[in-house]
Amino acid sequence: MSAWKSFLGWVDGDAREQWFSAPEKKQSENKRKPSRHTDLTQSEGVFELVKHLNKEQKRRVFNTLYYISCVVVCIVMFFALLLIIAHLPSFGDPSNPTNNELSQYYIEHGLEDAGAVNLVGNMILSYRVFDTFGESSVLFLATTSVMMLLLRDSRTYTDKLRRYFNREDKAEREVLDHLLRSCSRFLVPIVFTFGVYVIFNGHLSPGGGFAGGSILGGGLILYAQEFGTQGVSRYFTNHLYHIIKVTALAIYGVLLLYYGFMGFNGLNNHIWLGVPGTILSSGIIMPINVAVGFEVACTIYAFYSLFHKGEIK
Amino acid sequence: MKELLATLYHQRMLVTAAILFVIGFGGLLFNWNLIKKIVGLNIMDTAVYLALTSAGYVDGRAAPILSDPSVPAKMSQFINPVPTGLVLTGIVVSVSFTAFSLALTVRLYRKYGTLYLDDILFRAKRSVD
Repeated sequence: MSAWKSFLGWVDGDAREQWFSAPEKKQSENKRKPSRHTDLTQSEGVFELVKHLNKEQKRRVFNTLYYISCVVVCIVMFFALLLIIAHLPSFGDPSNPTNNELSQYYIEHGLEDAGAVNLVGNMILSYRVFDTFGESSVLFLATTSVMMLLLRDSRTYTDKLRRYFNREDKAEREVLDHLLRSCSRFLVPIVFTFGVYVIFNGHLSPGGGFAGGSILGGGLILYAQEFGTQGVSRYFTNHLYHIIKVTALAIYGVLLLYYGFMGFNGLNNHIWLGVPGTILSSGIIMPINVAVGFEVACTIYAFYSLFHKGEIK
Repeated sequence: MKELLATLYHQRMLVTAAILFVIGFGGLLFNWNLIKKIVGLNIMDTAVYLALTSAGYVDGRAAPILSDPSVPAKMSQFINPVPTGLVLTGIVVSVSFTAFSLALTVRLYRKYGTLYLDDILFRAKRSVD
């Protein structure tokens, strides 16, 4: 059977039986129905060459061809991208089509509409608050799916895994990394303070919920490295994790619903905007930043804990 | 030719982004190890962030944070804030996607005992037979 014929058979599903069938079926090979295609091509050239090779040589030929085609694809892609770049609007030009009336409105009316000094914070948490709610939901769903895949339960928790986790626990208790411990004892309070600062100043300076939450989550991971996950579970349990995560998302959702129901920006929505530039200002932006910050911190620590231990503790 | 080189120098951010994108794409194609594939995908993400942020940059303008709230802001003072927000969305989605694909990789490793895609396919095929 030529390569072309077997390919046609593969397309039609004739060959599947041959590949995936049980061994006793393979013995009755002559009973299989004949392929519907006749050998149309007097195949020569590459296919004829490949036919005479054994399995190992075929694999080697395939690998060589694969790598050569990959190099070609990468080079062609790079030059195609360069060609496109040469026709794109130039870098740093004020008359670019991206600097249109949308960004002009965000810059000139952001302060009176939403009340935050940080115009990017205005944009993502007031004009586009619905979009950012979607982002928080994506994080929530990502943690949920990682929990589905990695959380220990009776079906996935085999003896092999139990031995592995016991070994890890023992190593965590017995092998003391003095450098890491003394450094993180000094660093963890600073990291937590900085994370809280970035969250609560999200409407005044660069940062906000996502950045500050990542810093808080990093601090939690450092703490877990220092005292072990037992140390963290003294005050951050699975129960508390679920409470914080769901409450933060719910607070965000309720604020978003109220804000949307009252007509977003520009209408009389009874939200006190405060004095611009002070910490208690900018309406719903600061509470949403805090909610997002806790959500992201929980997510980051949950990823670490699930990958490390298979449970959130 | 000289003109083309001058254009490419002027678009240096996008050229860097293109180089990073091709490096990530090559990492995705050349490696059979699933962890290295995920690293390549993250490099591609970085290239997209660089391209987006450079689209919002304007020469000689400041970051969009008002230093004096009493003075009304003008378009000619600040760079474009819209691509910055889009990059934030991209980073969040990339983090979620990376965590999810790493979790899938962990489960594949527990089932088949290897991280190499061809070995995983071979063993999966053998377990079907």
